[in-house]
Amino acid sequence: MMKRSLIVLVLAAMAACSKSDAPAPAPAPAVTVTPLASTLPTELAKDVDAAQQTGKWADLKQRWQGQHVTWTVWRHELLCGSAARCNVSAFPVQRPAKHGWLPELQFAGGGEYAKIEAACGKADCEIKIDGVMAEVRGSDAEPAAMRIADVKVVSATRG
Amino acid sequence: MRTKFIASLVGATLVSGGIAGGYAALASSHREAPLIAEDQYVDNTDVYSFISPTDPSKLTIVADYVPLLKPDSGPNFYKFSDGARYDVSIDNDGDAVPDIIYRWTFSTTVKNGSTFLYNVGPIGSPTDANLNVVQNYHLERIDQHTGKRTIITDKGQVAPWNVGKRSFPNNSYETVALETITKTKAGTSAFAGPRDEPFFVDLHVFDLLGVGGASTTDGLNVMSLVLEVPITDVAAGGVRPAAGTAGPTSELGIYASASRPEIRMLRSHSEPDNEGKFVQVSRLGWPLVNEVIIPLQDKDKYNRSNPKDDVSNFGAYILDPEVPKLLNAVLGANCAATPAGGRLDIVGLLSPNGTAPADLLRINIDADQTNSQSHFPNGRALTDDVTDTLLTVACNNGSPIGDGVNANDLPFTTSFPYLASPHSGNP
Repeated sequence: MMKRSLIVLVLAAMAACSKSDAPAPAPAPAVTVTPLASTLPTELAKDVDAAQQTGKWADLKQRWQGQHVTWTVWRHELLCGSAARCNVSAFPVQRPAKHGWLPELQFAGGGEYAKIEAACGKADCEIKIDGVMAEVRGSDAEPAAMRIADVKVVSATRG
Repeated sequence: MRTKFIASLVGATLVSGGIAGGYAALASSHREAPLIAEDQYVDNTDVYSFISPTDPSKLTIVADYVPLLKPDSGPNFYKFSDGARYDVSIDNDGDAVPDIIYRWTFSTTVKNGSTFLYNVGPIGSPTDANLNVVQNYHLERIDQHTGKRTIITDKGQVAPWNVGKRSFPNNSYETVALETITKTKAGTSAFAGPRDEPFFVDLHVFDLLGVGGASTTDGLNVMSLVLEVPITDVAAGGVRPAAGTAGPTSELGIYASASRPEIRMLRSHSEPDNEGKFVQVSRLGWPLVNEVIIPLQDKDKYNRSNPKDDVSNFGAYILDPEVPKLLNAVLGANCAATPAGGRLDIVGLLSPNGTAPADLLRINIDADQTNSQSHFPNGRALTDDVTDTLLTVACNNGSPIGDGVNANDLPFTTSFPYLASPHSGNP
């Protein structure tokens, strides 16, 4: 224990010395982020695929978080049965599935979820939503997932 | 780090005269993901849960780890990993978030380091001086709401390995093994140790999909954690729901997992050190989910993730599973096409009585539930042929389909811990 404490102290001292002796760090290079060609789910899926290959998850998040999105998605009552618990399919189901994620929706106030209930009841439903990509998760260690906030329901069509 | 992929375990072949014209085979969760395949001691393979056959006021949970163990595997016989956490987590209010956790941690003592022998003479009891390598466990119940930790046992003993007839003469092994069972005044029973591998399947699927009803897990052992607890210990608010309640609190959601400290420091002149917070490396609720629903790119990530996020992370794989497509491609099994809305029937099975869909083994604990009703997907009995059940559900064409292996090699027992005695290393 004492040996480990000593090592920690020596390392801390070395770090402190190197900090004071080192020249001022060069300014960090500006991060170049490719602008989005579109904000559709297909574009996001391509970016997730790319991050999966390159490991550049931070770029993915930087590109997408805060983006305004207008998507047509599919709502199933079992997966989106209330305003508090709602995940939707961003793609027609038979693709076949190459990604596991189903975006989570957080509705704006004012009865936005009620619009879905009114139009669809418990039936499957195609809905057009407008919202903000509040969170994109994903890394080499965790699966990709996303949350769209401030969701307003533009239209809901039973079928 | 890019993930290096290993072959997936999915496949099938036609046999003539099969009841549904098809065999297919899968393994529940044995070596199912690249990283966990390199860390065998914390690879959890199956979870079972059923209303106790001996006391209907209790729930039995079996969590198996360390897959495919050869009985004559000395001199360092299999055990649990010291320093890892083995958890059985229980959601009791339907939100897919654990409310109760039972946690095992292990430590090993070598009485005499100057011999290579696991035992230095015949073993007549768990405390026999001849048993040289002893693994003990600490088991506690953690209430996730209050943080209260209740110690069930601080010095439980893992049943020894069934070394052979010279170490356990006169078929004495099982008597010794059962003496390690912990029983508390509060009505909890716990067992940890080797058992016969209860999962039955044809693993020849790895040989270019060549299966034909071979019972490839016969004769193998596994490391089992078995727990039997009063249902009131795990029900929401400590109250078992009344008969016919059929609501979210009726359905316990159970999964097993294992976690390791995030840092393991190897040292030249001393034993390794484990440091840092624990990281989940394996988990399992339903059989076969990570095996055949989750594709290779996400298998390791699945093991690290939590059930409450399953829909957000992996929901699309469940809505459009790969299995029926493969069965059609390889077998010509005539499985139904995925309906336009996706496989909501599978989502429904994962979310009974209004519970949140997640990879949890759901079991109804209403007061009218008995052992005879505890069959997959309402819990999972040891005898359940889940491979056939899930293949039939996945194929969804109205005809049964299976792997041709329909029962375990050894009979299960009628008393705790219910699993069959492990195969002997020298019968």
